[in-house]
Amino acid sequence: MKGNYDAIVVGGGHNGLICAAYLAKAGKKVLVLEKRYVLGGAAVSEELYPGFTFSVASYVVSLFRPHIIRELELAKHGYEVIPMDCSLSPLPNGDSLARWGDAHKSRREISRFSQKDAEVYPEFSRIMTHMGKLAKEVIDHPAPDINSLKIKELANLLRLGKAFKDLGPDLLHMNIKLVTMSALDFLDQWFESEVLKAPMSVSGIIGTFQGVRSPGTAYVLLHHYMGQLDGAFRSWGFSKGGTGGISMACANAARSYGAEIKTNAPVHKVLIKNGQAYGVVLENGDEYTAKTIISNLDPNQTYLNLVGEKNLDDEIVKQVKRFKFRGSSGKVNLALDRVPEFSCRPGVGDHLRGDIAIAPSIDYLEKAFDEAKYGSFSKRPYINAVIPSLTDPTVAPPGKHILSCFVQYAPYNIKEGAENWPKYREAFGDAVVDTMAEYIPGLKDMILYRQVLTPWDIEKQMGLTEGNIFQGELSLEQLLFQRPISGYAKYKTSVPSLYMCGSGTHPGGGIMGASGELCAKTILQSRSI
Amino acid sequence: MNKSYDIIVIGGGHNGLTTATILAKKGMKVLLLEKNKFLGGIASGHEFIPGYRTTGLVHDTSGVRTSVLKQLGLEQFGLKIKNARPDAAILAKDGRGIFLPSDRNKAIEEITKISKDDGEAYRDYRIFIDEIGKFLFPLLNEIPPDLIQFGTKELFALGKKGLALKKLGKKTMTELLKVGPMSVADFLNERFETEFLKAGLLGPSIYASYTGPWSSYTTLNLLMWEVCAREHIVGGPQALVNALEKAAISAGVVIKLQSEVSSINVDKHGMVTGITLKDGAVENSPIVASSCTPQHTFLDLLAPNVIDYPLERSIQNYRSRGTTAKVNIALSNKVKFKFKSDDTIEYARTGNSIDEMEKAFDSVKYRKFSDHPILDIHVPSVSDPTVAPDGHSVLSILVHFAPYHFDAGWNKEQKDRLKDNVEDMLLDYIENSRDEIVGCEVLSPVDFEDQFNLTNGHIFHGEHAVDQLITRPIPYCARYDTPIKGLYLSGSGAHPGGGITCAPGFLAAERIIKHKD
Repeated sequence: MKGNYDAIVVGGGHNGLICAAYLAKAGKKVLVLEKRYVLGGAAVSEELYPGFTFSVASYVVSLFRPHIIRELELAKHGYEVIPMDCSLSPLPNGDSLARWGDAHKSRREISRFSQKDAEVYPEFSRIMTHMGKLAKEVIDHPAPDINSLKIKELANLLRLGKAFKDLGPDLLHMNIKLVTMSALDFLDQWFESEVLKAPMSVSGIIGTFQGVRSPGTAYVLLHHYMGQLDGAFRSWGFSKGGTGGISMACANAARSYGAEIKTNAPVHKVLIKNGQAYGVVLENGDEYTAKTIISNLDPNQTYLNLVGEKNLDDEIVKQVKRFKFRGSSGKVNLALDRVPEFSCRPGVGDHLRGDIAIAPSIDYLEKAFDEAKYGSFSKRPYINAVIPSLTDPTVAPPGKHILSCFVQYAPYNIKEGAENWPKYREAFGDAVVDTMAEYIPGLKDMILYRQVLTPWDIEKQMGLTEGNIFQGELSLEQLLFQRPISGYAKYKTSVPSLYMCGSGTHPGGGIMGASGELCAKTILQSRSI
Repeated sequence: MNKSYDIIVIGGGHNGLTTATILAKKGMKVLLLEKNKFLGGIASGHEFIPGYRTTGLVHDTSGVRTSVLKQLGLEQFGLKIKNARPDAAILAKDGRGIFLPSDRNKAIEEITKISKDDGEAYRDYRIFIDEIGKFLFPLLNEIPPDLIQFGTKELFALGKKGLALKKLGKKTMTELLKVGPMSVADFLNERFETEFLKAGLLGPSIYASYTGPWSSYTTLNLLMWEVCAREHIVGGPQALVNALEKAAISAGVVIKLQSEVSSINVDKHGMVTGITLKDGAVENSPIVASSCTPQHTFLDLLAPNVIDYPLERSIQNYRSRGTTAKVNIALSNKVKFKFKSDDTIEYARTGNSIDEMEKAFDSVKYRKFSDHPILDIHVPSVSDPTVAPDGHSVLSILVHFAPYHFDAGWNKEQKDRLKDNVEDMLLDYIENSRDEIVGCEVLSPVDFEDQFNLTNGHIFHGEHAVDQLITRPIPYCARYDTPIKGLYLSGSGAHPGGGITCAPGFLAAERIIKHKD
């Protein structure tokens, strides 16, 4: 038995590392235990093929909280994000739409498809950025607790209420619309061209088991306008050295403040005595004790595996079990022997240095979703592809490149049963390569190596239940004071001394760091350690 | 101004009649204008084949507000109300079915025959509906809170709503907030096991919507329907229209049929002065209540220079994509459902399974009608044999989903295809044979639009989507008055929305009275 830690963090994803860093910085003795050989969880870089560093799962950064970079001095520890400037959507007819950081350039492109849309586009961006500021207000604070009548909670609610009231009636209503409408219905209010609407609408469905016409997906559109790199709204970027670079920076920061980090250290159970968490036991039997245990794992893993049903109230078990995961996406990472050129825009230019969305029409996206709804992966999926090696040459050997494809829909629950995914893994990979090859002539001959991650693989490899990349669906009933369960949405769990700091807590998924930070601050404020 | 009337009501549907009558009873001089030769709008029945009548284009009267009917004094004009939702049957394709009597204990008994667990679950479900009804039902029967002039008074009103929500108790409140945004598929899957029971229960949550059972927020729609389904009218919507007409006349409402309004007139100060009819006649009045759809009211009846651009755009963005068609069938025999040998079932609905219903919705996305539509069936001849010749029947069927936005176009060929589809589906559930079908009428969303000025043929005057509730149709017109002084909305496009309820018509009248005082 090894003890005397103030806190043990189970899971070395970026949130766990950030949580550890904040606690260590406050002078606490912290231990991080990661099951895999490498840190980062889903924000991880791995050299799967000699010379190629893949951002295996999560692949772009946008919502990382800027104050965390400052407070943990992450830049000093290797945090570097290179902005992406373009969003390209190739079309089957050989045409394409590119949207740029430069608004004028975007408008010129859009006007080829609709003059009206080109005129409305800047106004739309302006309003969305404005709305994004409000959303920021929500993600930078713990969720208000509607069950409590404490002065602090009421003040919290009032603060939010004021922020909403200050919006004025039009924006207030837009806010209601954003939370409840479908991404497509929302965009329909502004735009007419499908060439524009289809690639814009997909930001609403990433990581969810919803279609672009599913109510509630409009809200995620905002995320696109919340990305805050170096203070500039609406910019997305690549992390130097892959997204694992961010996790490494967080780990370095944590270590610099004195945190201890162990890899290859899978935790088996949280130790509980008299209803209170006091330590963990590893799969190899080693035990560590601490005043506080923090789980970076998702709610399902935390409550049902680490704690176990027998240590929980029936009501808690019931609520945890109804928390929805339903992973819907997969990943296909390709090592290529040259630059993949697109037939719509031959040559290597800035248009390849951003993200490339295969979302040519609304019907295309809906068909992809309908296949998934009834238990199959999409034969012609929505793909968000990036070629990070063009922006960050360190991730591939000279002249060679990485094509990283985020793919939707790949439902965890296929009709044959999730455990049969391995049988369909290569067929799924083929569907993705076939789809990409329609836009990249000769793609199949360029492939040196291919990694296919199905939701089943994501679950097995990263411990994300049902392969959900956000540690649980981002639907309204699973957000704010209900994430992950009502009454325990402020990083505390129903087990005293056990906290949660992963994306399964408010404000949710993506490489934001907010859950880790807010969890650490909650613990420090409670003065329990 | 030459003031001829205190108020003009446009549209003689059940809401227009309600507004007119309430105001006339307050002593106002009211003119009601109806485009068609008959009153009732889509609440009216008609003879679709000689000798066979429906009792309403839409037929669900279970949400009608008896409190309003009482104030209108409709019982003295012959209206018969039953103080319970109608008995209904849930049908499955394999010939099974569940009879759901309005009496909940009997309903639980019936469900228990199929599944004991589902019987228990239904009991809990209905208790939950009772509980949340204490919060939701009042909300759907009052003028909604003001979100525009957001001051201390409004904050106080909202706070009161918050307290009412808290009064449900922590458990019920938490559960309501949890399930409200859910898809109805998730909600029912958590509770029930029998697939066709779930399908049958969820029906009303997706009727006339642009959502399938797997869409988020559909649970809220189901709960709203459930808490309101408390009564129903004997003889269907047409009986309500008949009583409303008598009440209106007795209250002194001047009713003019075949009087289509071509414009609402507004003076240079932005005040309503009256209306102009299609034939050029002008009627003057400082107040106009329109029970037409918001789009028809603002975009067709008002001159373009009267409303400002933001208002115009919000109205254009108000979503009302019709997804419902109607098939009326005349049958030369009593209707005999396969699962129950007697012939007394008046209301029945199909669905079979959640996924099948979702697929019915999928077709809408691709601008097609569903090959396996969901049928919401009413057999008016059961309680009113006069609608058909002796021993014969009428089936009034609302068909989901059949979109207004339909690539093939609603021509005769497509309507025949829909008719064949519906007949095929129907014969799966009833013992009667195809030979007994005397005739059929198909009404598409385009027909609804043509005949009743329903924008995009939407039977609720706009989708019941969350952002189109409470602030219905748009925040600036959510309390019946509009930015145009003297113009009010009194139809299903206003709070609390569509269906045979009389609620928007009544609340609009209340608002007008408040403003007059």
